[in-house]
Amino acid sequence: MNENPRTQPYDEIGIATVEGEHVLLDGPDGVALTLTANAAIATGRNLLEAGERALACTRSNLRQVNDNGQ
Amino acid sequence: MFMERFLVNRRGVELTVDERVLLEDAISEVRTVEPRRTLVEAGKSVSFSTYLMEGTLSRFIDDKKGLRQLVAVHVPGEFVDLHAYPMHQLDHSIGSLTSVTVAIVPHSALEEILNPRPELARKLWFSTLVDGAMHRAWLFRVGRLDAVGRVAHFLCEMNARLEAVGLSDGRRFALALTQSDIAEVCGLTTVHTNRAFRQLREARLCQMRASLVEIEDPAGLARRGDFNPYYLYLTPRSTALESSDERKSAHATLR
Repeated sequence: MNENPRTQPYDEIGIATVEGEHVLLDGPDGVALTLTANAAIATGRNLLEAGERALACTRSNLRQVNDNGQ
Repeated sequence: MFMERFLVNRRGVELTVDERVLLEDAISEVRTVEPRRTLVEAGKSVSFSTYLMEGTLSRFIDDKKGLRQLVAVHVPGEFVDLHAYPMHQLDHSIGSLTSVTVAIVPHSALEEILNPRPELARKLWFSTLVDGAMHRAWLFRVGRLDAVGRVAHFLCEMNARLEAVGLSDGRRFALALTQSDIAEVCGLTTVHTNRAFRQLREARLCQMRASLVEIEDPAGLARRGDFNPYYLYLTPRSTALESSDERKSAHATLR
């Protein structure tokens, strides 16, 4: 049985747009958030930092796989 | 003629004249309630069920901060809390969104007429099962759809339910809800809801002006909201919505 792709992490990006004084984040999937400007900026920074850390983790895991293969 | 809309156009469970008269005779009182009032509070013992004759009622749950989530909206012709009959209390509150006229049916009277009539009991059971089906559809809506899709799905559902009781012509219906109410239904902010309505209008799918919803493209709106009315268990009808390919195929599957 295949795993439901909807229970897997998303590879699609969320779309952030401005509506008056607020930031709307739509997607991926059913995400529909409205944030104040300050909350949007802080959330964006958090996402950026967390994304960089996750990327570093992915690179480290790839290196380990390559090292074990040699 | 208090219950002429109850179970009308629902597949295979329409009331006979005798059954409707029995239910109407069980009504102990007809009340008119102003908008934004709580009729039944969650957790309190309840000895009657409420049938909605006119207006719009909601079932709601407030969080610990008092912020409200509407977990159901009821239109005329529906029992709002028939499940209170076997359960004796509600896990949610019931409130009026508009001015409403309701018929109160004591559980003791229900027991008296239902005990010797399993077929009528089955029809009332069906009514609560449709409530359950709608709850599942609402879970799908808030769990899977984007903001525009959620609003589109809700409007399609209201249109179908109101059309079943003769309160929509399949394209136009009165919906005396604020955008804040619809936001609470769809799990969105009012800002998001407002924009979703604008996008639906710009896409020429539907618009809402002064509590009147006008659906320009029923099939397109159903597609945008991933809406399939099969969960409402409606009798297929040759109306405007019936021209929607999705609806035809849903009914064909269920025939």
